[in-house]
Amino acid sequence: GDYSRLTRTITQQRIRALVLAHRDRDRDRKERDFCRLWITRINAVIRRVGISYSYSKLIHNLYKKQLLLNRKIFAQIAISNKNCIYMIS
Amino acid sequence: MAHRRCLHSALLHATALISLKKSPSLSIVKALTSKPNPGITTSNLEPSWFIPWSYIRHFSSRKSDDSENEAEMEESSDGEGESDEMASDMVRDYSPEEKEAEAAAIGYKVVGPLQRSDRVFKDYEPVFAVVQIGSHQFKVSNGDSIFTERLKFCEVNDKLILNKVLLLGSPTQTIIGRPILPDAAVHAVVEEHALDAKVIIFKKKRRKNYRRTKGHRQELTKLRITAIQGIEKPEIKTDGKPLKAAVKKPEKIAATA
Repeated sequence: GDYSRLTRTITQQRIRALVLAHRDRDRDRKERDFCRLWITRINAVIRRVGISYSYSKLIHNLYKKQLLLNRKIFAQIAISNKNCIYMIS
Repeated sequence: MAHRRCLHSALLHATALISLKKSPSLSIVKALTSKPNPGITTSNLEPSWFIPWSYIRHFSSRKSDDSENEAEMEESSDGEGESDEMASDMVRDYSPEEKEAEAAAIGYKVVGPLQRSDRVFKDYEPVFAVVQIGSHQFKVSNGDSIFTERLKFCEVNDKLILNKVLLLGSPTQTIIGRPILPDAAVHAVVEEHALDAKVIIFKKKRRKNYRRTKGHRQELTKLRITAIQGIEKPEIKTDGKPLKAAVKKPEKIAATA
């Protein structure tokens, strides 16, 4: 429509694009988005382990056993090798 | 002229440090008198330029290494003046072996020697490791390439050993570290030091006549993972790529035997 034809709107939209890109990309936005993604994925895999086993319990156990350092990159492992996840939990 | 300024700044810092100092460190000072002497002769080349830097350097050195730098600083108070300040600055810039080892442990890698003749690149093995590099964790397997923050003290074609391994996995076995696995090592080779794609940082406040544009390229290092140690690897017969297979099979047999 006009967004690609009229010069005035074009310049406005260009500025808007930069601003929105900045906002989506920076200020921890990416971190937050990915964190949420991973948490939901981990949760989905973990609930299959057994009745009343959930993400929160898993994280609690991880901190207890000093596995401090398995972050939400954990979720990647959960997708590729599920046996490892069962071993950990 | 420059000497006077150096002495003056040296004395300022020295007095600040002496107040913090305790007596046993003096013995360390005497023990270390021999150490910075080689540094002094080299550092006398550029006295004046280092003076403003020395202010910044000393503050940072106080936090990082207590015994070494502060001992050197105390020596400067004893009367050697500018040259020892320069020694600590040179140490920070050109990092002798000890400094390299420490910084490497923090950023978490150990630099091995450069290599030209070894062919270290094996075929894919289904083993993976979870490795931590300076607060980022990566799930890594043989032959992967990884972009990390720019690692100091390595150049292109350097062998690295990554110590902080959190998890080793294979189709048959998983080894979990609490938190680190002590005997596991992941070998990597630095492929290149590169800059990220340009990111435009654009700030705008509407109706307030405020607009800022800035470009930013992050510095990265590309690592290629060559080997993972610490887990048994299941044997797999490779059928594809006859040339490479002919070369690699005797290597594999030698490794497993």
